[in-house]
Formats: sequence, C-alpha cells, structure tokens
Amino acid sequence: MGLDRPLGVTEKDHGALEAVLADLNRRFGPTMLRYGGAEEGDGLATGVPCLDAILPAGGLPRGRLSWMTGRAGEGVFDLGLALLARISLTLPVAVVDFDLRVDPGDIADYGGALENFWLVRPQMPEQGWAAARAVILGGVDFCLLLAHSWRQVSRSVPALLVAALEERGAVALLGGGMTVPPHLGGRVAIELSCRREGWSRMHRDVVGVELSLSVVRSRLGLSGGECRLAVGFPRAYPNPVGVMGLRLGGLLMEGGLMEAVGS
Amino acid sequence: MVSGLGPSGRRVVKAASEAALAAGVHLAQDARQAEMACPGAVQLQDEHLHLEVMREQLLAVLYDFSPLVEICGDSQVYLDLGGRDPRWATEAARASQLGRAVQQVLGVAPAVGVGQSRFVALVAALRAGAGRIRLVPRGSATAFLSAWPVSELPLPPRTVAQLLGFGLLTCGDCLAIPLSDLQRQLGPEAITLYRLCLGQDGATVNPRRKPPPCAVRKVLAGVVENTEALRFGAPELAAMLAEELARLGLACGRLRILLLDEDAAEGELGLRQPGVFLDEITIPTPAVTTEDLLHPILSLLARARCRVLTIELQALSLTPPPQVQAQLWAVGETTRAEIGRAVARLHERFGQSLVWRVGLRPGHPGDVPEERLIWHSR
Repeated sequence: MGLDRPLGVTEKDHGALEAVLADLNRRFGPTMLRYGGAEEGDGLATGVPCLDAILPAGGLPRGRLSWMTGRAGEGVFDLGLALLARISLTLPVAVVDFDLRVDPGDIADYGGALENFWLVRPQMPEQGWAAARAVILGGVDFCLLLAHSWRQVSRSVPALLVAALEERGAVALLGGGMTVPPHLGGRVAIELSCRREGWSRMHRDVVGVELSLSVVRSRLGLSGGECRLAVGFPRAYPNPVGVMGLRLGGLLMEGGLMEAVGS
Repeated sequence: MVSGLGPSGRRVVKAASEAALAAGVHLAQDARQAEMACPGAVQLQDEHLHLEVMREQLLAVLYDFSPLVEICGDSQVYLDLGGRDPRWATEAARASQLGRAVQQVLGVAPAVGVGQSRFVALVAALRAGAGRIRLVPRGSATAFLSAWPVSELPLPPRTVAQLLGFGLLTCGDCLAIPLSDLQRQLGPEAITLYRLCLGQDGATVNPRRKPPPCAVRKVLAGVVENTEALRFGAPELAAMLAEELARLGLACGRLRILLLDEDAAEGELGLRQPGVFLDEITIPTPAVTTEDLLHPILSLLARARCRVLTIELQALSLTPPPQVQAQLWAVGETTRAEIGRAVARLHERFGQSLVWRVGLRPGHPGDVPEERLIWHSR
C-alpha cells in the first residue's frame, strides 16, 4: 500500500499492517479503506454556515455517503429537503423517495430551483438504488435518499453507490431511520443526528420547528459538533398536533426559510 | 411626417421622411416645432394610423411584389424586381401597380423609380417626385445619370470636394475623364465614382427576411359580452400560441390581441382585420412557454370592453429563443442534458414513472401536488 512508517512503529509491525491492508484491498476494493481525514474545503457546502462549521470537511464530504438519523416527526425530511433546495440553486440535485411521501413542491417552497431537481419514486427499493447511482453518474452532485427504514438494502448496493460517488465527487445523504444494516453503515462517512428541540411560535401559533443537529460519528475528523437550526413554515398551525400530522409526518409540507439559531 | 402622443402627453414626431429630416425635423421632436421647421410636410397622426400596424401592412404589400425587400428607415424601400412575373406584362405596369398599392396603405402617393441598380433606382425616384413613376430602361442609365451632380453622389465629402475643385460638376463630366487619370487623383474612390456614374454600383438589396406569421385564433361558441369571462380561456390561448411558437422555434417579444365580433370580416390569420378591439403589449423577455405567455394575455384581456366572438392572438417581434443558442454551452444546460440521457436509460429499464421532473403550474391551482405541479417524466 506504500504507507510511510510512523515513528515508534517497528519494521515488523509495519510490514504486518501493510499485509493486512493489502488483503482488505484485494477482498473489498480500494473504496473500503481511506486514509486520514478530509481536508478543509473538500466538502459540499450546504449553505448553512453553522452546519458547515461542525462538519469536518466544511460541508458534506464529497465522494462519500452521509447519514442523517432521526425518527419520524423529528424533522429529518424537512431539513433534508431544505438543504437540498439550497444546493439546487447551484448544482443539480435528486431525491430518491423510497416511501413515496415527498411533495416536490416543497423544493420550490424552500426557495430551490426546480430545473435542477429530479425526483425518483421507486416502486421497489432496488430501483431506487439503481436510479440514485445512475443519476449521480449522469451528473447529479447531491442525492438525498429518504426512507424511514433502511432494512431492505442488498449487499452490493452500498459499494456500487460509493464507487459512483467517488467517481464523480458527488454527495449522497441518507435521511431518516435509526438503524442501518452493517454493510451500509460501514460505508457511511458522517452520521448526523437530528432531533426536534421545540416549536417556533408566534401569537401562540406554530410557525416553525427548532432542530438540533449533531455529528455523532465521523470517519473524517472529530465528531461531537452540534448546531441548532430553525425551519420556518410558510403558514402558521394552530397547534403542534396539526404540524405533526401534516408536516413532519411527511404528508404535506410547504416550505419556509431556514436559519441558524445557535451552534 | 407622423406624429403621436409621447410619454409626457405632448404630440411628438414618430416618423419622418428624409426630406423632412433634412429640413430640421428629428424624431421625438415636439410636433409644433417640427411643423415650424418644415411647414410643407404632410402631417399624419399615429392614433389614426397605428404606425406599427401600417408598417406591417406595407411590408405585406411589398412582399406581394417581391420576396426581396429592404426597408431603409421610414422613407425608402428597395425591392429586387429581378425575374419576370406573369402577373404584369411590363416593368412599368408592375411599378405603377406597386405605387397604387402603397398609396392605399399609406394614404400618400410614393415616388417610384425603377432602374438597373440601386443607385439608379434611387435617382429615378428622386427625379420622379411624389405620385409619379420614373423608369430607366436597361442600357440607358449612363445617359440618365450624366446630368446628376457629383455633390449628390454617395461618396466621402473629401472626394466630392476634390471633384468640385477639379471642375467636375456632373457624372457626365467625370466620365469624360479617363479612369486612370481619376485613379491618380482619387485613388480607389475613382472606381466607385466610375461605377456610380455608369449606373453599375453593384449594390444589391439587403432583404429583410419575411417574418413567418405566428398567430392563433379561437372562435367562441357564442358572442361573449362579459369580457371577464374571456380570462378563463387565457390558458388555452397561451398553450395554443406556445405550441405555434415551438413549431417555428421562435420567441415572441410583443403580443397583439384582436377581438372580433360577429360582424367583423373573417380574413387571413396574422393580418389585421377590421375588428372591434386591437391592443398590444410588449413582453420584457421573449416569451416561449405557456407560462411566459399567460400573464401578457391576461393583461390584454383585462383591457377589453366589447362584444367578442373571435379572439386572435398574434405573436410579433419574433426572435430565436435565447436558451436555444445562448445557453447551449452553459455548464448547467450540458449537465442537465447528460442527466436527461441517464434518466432516459432508467426509463427504458424501469418504466416512465420512476424519475420525474416537476414545474410549478401557473396561477393558484391548489395545494395538492397533482394539481399544483406539472409533472414531466423526462
């Protein structure tokens, strides 16, 4: 593998390490192992400064798979679509909607550019993964994959997707779910956790949701960074129950502005 | 001289002949000042003429006589009459018919000159005067021009001054001097001078391409007196016109609406008919799609107050749509085209319902995505 021998490591130990790495490389391919952390500026800026500040690469890492975890109703879909809308202003983006619950009008409501947006609505999970890989190889720079559960993922899918991401320097973000199969989790470079902290209110109406986003796992640098974001709704809801049923459940979402409320 | 109401509400000059311009009239000048500068000018009022409509009608008449028409300002028009036309036995008959047709449109009699070259035709028209025709037969141009003063030739002022200094006052005087002698004095300009004097200037008509008619017409089931109701038909009209524009591969910079009642004569599509309402609107950016056209159409319909049986929409100021050429090499366009090819392959493999593109439907159709958005499978 041609690694430089670090100080304090004997020649014998270094030779054994190189042999193990060569074996892993032969069995799983070069994408399985990556060295070192990401460099500053190697990430795709999300357009939200406080979020980019906590991400090791200054943004979502290019050529890697990221994952934003969160239960249904915690605002993962809203936040993912809002981020996608911001990125769509400059780059082509795609959403793979495994649960068929996304309203693409949200992209426009969040201020995104629909001419840079593709929506994949697969009838079967395999179609969604194949489409994600195809559109990334076709030229999409940011692909958001949304699902509440990631159980039905075949073993070959993550490797093929990551290979496509590396080839193009694109970004894929899994949104939703609390667990992933090991063969998918092993490919995730950054894991973000999204939690709902509270509601933004005005005149006793709910006008937005406050979210907390933290880096719980990172292969590229230090984890632990946290920021708070507010996603504003375009119209007020009389109570949180209505919001939970209509918006954060993913049934009907109309956009708003996203702003940082602290980090 | 044509005058009309300017932005400040005062009457200003909107078009003027070369003679009027030479007399001191200029465009956008106050009409009273223009009248004082050129007392003999025939003054026409734009409100009664619809200058743009008149220009288009004039073009339509001219294209009937020749496919090659060049417009030089508001005072000169050149037609290439090369080739025989079976409708007229002689060139004189053709020219007189042309003069009558132009007079019917403009209301004033034009001066018509027919010659073997552009310059000869111009001199013939100037010699003929308004309402008359001067025909210079082929081969007699040199004799016709021999008395024409060199000061009126389209030459640089320095060359004209040199000729006058030599005592050469007319074209005939210049032709009496050998070309080599003229070349020694004037250089390359001597050849131009010689050709002009011989009536062989070689300048051709630079034709303005005949714009393709782009208009749609919708005949209503019955006469509509409440023009508010017409607005419900605007999306259909916009879609029809967008389809026509797409067929021609053009964008529309100006939109004209013509509302006809049951008494209005049916005529050829795209030409002005005596209707009950005519209005135009300029579109800030050339419109191509249904969405682009919808708002101008709604604006035009909102101004109408009359009985309507037929609606005609005419797309004017047609230009190539900017995105066809201008953005072809833009990074975004090429990337999108590449993604489109990848999506096409996915559709072949998994069916048309896998990957979608969406656009916002104009207006306020509702919150349901199926109604609010336009879904494209490519």
